[in-house]
Amino acid sequence: MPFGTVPLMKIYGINSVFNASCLISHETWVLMFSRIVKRKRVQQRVVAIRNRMFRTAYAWCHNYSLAQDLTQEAALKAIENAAQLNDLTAVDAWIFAILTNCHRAHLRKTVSMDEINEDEEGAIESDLLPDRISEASRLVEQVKQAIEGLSEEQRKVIILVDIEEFSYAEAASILGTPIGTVMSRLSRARQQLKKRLLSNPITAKAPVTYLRRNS
Amino acid sequence: MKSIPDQQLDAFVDDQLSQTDRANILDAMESSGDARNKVAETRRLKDLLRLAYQNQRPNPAQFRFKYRKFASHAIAAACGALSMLVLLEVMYTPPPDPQLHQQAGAASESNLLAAGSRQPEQVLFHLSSDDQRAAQLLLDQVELVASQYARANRELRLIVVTNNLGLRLFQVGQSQQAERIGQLYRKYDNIVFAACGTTIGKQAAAGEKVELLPEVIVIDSGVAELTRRQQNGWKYIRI
Amino acid sequence: MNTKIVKPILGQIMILMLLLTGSSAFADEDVHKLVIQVSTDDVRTQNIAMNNAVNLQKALGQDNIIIEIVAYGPGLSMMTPKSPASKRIPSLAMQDITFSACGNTKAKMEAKSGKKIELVEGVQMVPAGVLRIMELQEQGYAYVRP
Repeated sequence: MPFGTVPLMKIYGINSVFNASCLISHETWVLMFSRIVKRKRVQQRVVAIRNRMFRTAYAWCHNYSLAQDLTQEAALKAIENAAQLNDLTAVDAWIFAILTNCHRAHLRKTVSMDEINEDEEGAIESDLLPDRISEASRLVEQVKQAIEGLSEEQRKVIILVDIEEFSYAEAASILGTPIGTVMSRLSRARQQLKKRLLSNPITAKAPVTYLRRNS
Repeated sequence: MKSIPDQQLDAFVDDQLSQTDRANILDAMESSGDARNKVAETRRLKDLLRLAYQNQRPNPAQFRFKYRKFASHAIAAACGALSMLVLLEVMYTPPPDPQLHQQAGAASESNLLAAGSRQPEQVLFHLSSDDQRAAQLLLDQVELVASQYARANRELRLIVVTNNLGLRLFQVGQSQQAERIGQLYRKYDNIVFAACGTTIGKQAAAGEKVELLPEVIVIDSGVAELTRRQQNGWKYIRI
Repeated sequence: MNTKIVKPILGQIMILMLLLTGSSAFADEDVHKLVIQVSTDDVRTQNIAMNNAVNLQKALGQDNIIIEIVAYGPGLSMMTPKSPASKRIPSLAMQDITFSACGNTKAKMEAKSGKKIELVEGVQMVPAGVLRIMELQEQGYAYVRP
C-alpha cells in the first residue's frame, strides 16, 4: 500500500487500525490526523467565504470572469495545500493570502517584469463596457474609476481593510508585507481617493450614509 | 499645536488603536477641527467604497456550475456515481452530543452499561505482539469487559483478533494462555477468537507449521476485518 | 456510533475508495476529540504519548481538540510519583489534557503489594481503563495507541 502518498484517511477507526497495524509510525499518524483536521477546516471555510473572495477579487481587477477564475483557483489551492496552514484560528486570512498570490501570478503573466513598479499607478484590465454601463449608479462608476487609479498594491490594501474589514495585522500577513507598509499604502490610497472623490460634485454630496450596514 | 499624523487618524477610524492611543486621539480631536474633518472624510470614503463593492456577487448559475467542478475535484472519487452513493451511505455519521470533557467525570461505568433497549455493544481487541505481559493484559481486559457486561445484563459481542507476532497466542505449543482461552471461551459465548489468515499463510510459506487452539477461528485478514468492523461502528482496543 | 450494515463486497470496494479519495467524512464539528491509550510501562512510549498530545494541541490549537490520556495495566505506572514521566502530568493537566487512571488496575496493584498506591496531581480515576476508552469512542473520540 503506497501509504506515504495516500492523501488522507477519514474515518476515525481506520486511523487506529492502520496505526495499530504498524503500517505507519505513530508520529506519522499524528501528522496525518492533524492534516485531516486542517483540510476539513479549510474546506468548510472556503465554502463559507467564497462570495467574499469573489468580491475582493472583483474589486482588485474589475473583471467579472477573471474574478471568478481567481476565486476558483484560490479555493482549490487552499484545499490542496491545507497541510501548510499553521494557525487554525486564522484560516480566512490564509485563504485570502492564497487569493492574493493567485492574482499576483496572473498579473505577472500579463504584464512584463520591467513594467512592474509596485507603487506606481497600475493598469487594470477592467470589464468590457456593457457590464459597466449596467451599473445602476454613476456614483458607483466614479468610485470604481477612482479605485482603478490606484497602484496595484494600494488597491489591494484598501479593499482588504475597507471592504473585507481585515485588521492591519491580517492585511499584512495576507499581502506578505510589513504592517508599516500596509499603513503607509493605505494612507496614500485614501489621500488619492479623497482628492478624486470628495471634491467631485457627484460623489461628494451624494447621500450615502443611509446605505451603511450595521457591520 | 502638533497635528496628528494621517496614519494615526486612519488607524483610529479603522479601530486598530490600543485603548490608550484611542483615548489620546479622542482628546486631541476635541481641539483640532482639522483632525475631525479628516476623520469624517475617511469615514465617508469607507462608505463610498462599501456602496460600490459590498454587493458584488458572482453570477449564481456560472459560479455554481464551476463550484460543482471544484467540489468534485475536492472529492475526487476513483469510481463513478454509484461509488459516491456507497461512500455517502457508509460515511461516518455525527456522534451523539459531545460531552464537554469537564463534565465527563469518572462515572463512566453507568453510562455505557445502563440497561434499556440499546443495541448490542460491539468491541474488537487486537494483539500483534508476542509479548507475554501484553497477552496477559489482553485477556485480563477481555475478561473484565465480558464480566461487566454480563453483570449489567447488556448484550455484547467481542472479537479478539491476532495477527503478525500476536498469532502466537493462538498457536498450539506457542501459547502460554491456552488454558485461559479455553476457560473464557466456555464461560462467555459472546467472545470470538480470530486468527489472521494472511499471517498464517506467511508462516506456512516460511515452512512453519501452524496449529491453532480449538477455540480459534480463521479470518481472511486481520487488518481487513478490523477495518471493516470499525466502519460499522465497532469499538477498538489495541493491546 | 451508529451501526451500519454494509455488504462485504461493498465493504472491500469502499475500503479501497477510502484510501484513494481525499474527501473528509468527519462529523461537522469544529472540535475534534482524541483518546490516547497508555498500557505499557516503557517510559519512552509514555513520553511519546504526552508529546503527541502536546504537539496536536499546538498544531490544531488548544480550543480545537480535546485530548484524554487513559492509562491501564502496566501503563498505570506513568501516573505514580516515582515514574519519570509523571513529572509532566500536573502542568499538562493545566493545559486541558485529561489524565484518567484505571481503577481496576490500581486495585489489583494494591492487592498485590498490600500498600495504597498514590497518583500524581492532575489525574482522575475511572472504574476501568478499557471501559473508559470504549465510552469515549461511543462519544466520537478517535483512538490511538502509541
